[in-house]
Amino acid sequence: MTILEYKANIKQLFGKMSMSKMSQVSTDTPSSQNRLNSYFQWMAIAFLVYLLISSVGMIGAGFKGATKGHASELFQFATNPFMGLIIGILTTAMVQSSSTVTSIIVGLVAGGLPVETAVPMIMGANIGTTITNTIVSLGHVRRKKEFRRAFAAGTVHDFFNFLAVVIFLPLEIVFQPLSKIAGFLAENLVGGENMSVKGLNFIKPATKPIINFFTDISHLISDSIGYFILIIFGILIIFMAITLIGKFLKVLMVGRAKIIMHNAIGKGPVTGILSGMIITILVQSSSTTTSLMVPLAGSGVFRLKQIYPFTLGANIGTTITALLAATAISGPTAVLTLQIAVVHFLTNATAVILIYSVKILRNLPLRGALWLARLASENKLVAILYVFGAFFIFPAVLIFITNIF
Amino acid sequence: MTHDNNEPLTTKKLKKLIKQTKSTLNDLQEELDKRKMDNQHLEIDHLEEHMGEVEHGFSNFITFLKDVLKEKK
Repeated sequence: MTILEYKANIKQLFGKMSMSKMSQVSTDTPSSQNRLNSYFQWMAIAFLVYLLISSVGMIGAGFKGATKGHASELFQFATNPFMGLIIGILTTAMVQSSSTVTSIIVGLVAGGLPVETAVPMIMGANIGTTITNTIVSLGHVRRKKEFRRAFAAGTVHDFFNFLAVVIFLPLEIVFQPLSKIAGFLAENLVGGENMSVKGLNFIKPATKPIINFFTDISHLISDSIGYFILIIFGILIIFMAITLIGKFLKVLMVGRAKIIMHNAIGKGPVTGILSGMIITILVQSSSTTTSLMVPLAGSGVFRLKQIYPFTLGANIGTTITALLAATAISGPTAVLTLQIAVVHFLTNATAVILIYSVKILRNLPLRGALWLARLASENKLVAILYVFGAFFIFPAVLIFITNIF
Repeated sequence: MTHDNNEPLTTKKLKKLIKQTKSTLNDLQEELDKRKMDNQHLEIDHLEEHMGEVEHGFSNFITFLKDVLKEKK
């Protein structure tokens, strides 16, 4: 081919290019019916947040009453940090909501569960929550390449959170840096005579009627185990409130999530992290954000490297729920509940800063996810073994080993 | 090396061609990046459908198990 022919070919190719149109975010004006619906949905969300905060108070009150001030003895079996970690992994993997588990942990701390026992549980919840997007990725099984990409997108979150625990749990066991910083911050945030969160002193009187109502019902059902029933009520209400809040917010916030994601395209990883964080705060669920990344990567339109920062942002955004739950508690345990919520935030935020800023560490989850995805796309049994092994069998084996030694 | 019609390719012409080719390559790369970004915007426009997909985690798992069992048989 002569140079002129080559030039002509290039020009022809360039001329044929159709300039694709920029997609536009839907800006349809909502009808009055839609507006009314969203108004009621926001009202429902406000009520559900109130229920969530109240239920954390219920768990705290129930746990305190049930253990009669000896909560630490009841959780003696979990003083081994690995046991706490396993409890966090298993419970979160079963309920598939880290927000529910962390809110329950905040309630338990309010009832007397020691913070040092609760920290590994929080870390376990971070691992357990990653099962959701891994399961979502299994839906792409019919097409091999798509499955490989989707499974890698699902498990990059798992590898990142495993790595974060491998780094931070031993550090926390030996030096307690996260608990100490969180304790310092919590003490400065909580003050005043009644030891409630500064500026949020209205929460106790607001939640008192509902806590008293369920306390009375629990004791009516059975006086001897009334406090245990109160804990169960609290757990059920937290689960229901978080599930419904998530469902409503998904509908209400999908438009905003779209805008955020459109704006993040073509920008750097920091924008991706911030976008993932904001979307997670908006939908109140890290599983939703990380699961949304799975089909985007599965289609091949987004690369694993591009969705990775969103996943990390989701890890930070999800900590807002425990912080919100902590505002429910006033009195002497207010500092401790805020401390455990801040530990959750610090763990996830510092993990993102540390792991993402060090290239070798940053690439580990990507390599791990790609390696596992390759194996799983060749042999699908690997995917099943991974899901059961990492989230159920491995923790069970650890429990067994912990009990022996 | 000769140009079309067996004209000799001078150094000046060669440099000009290299410059043009580089510029064309840059344009092509820009167009490719733009197309990739446009596809990403289009994919995000289907976020509602993806939200729906997130809801079917358990059924995904069952379908996956069935598929694996079928394959193994």
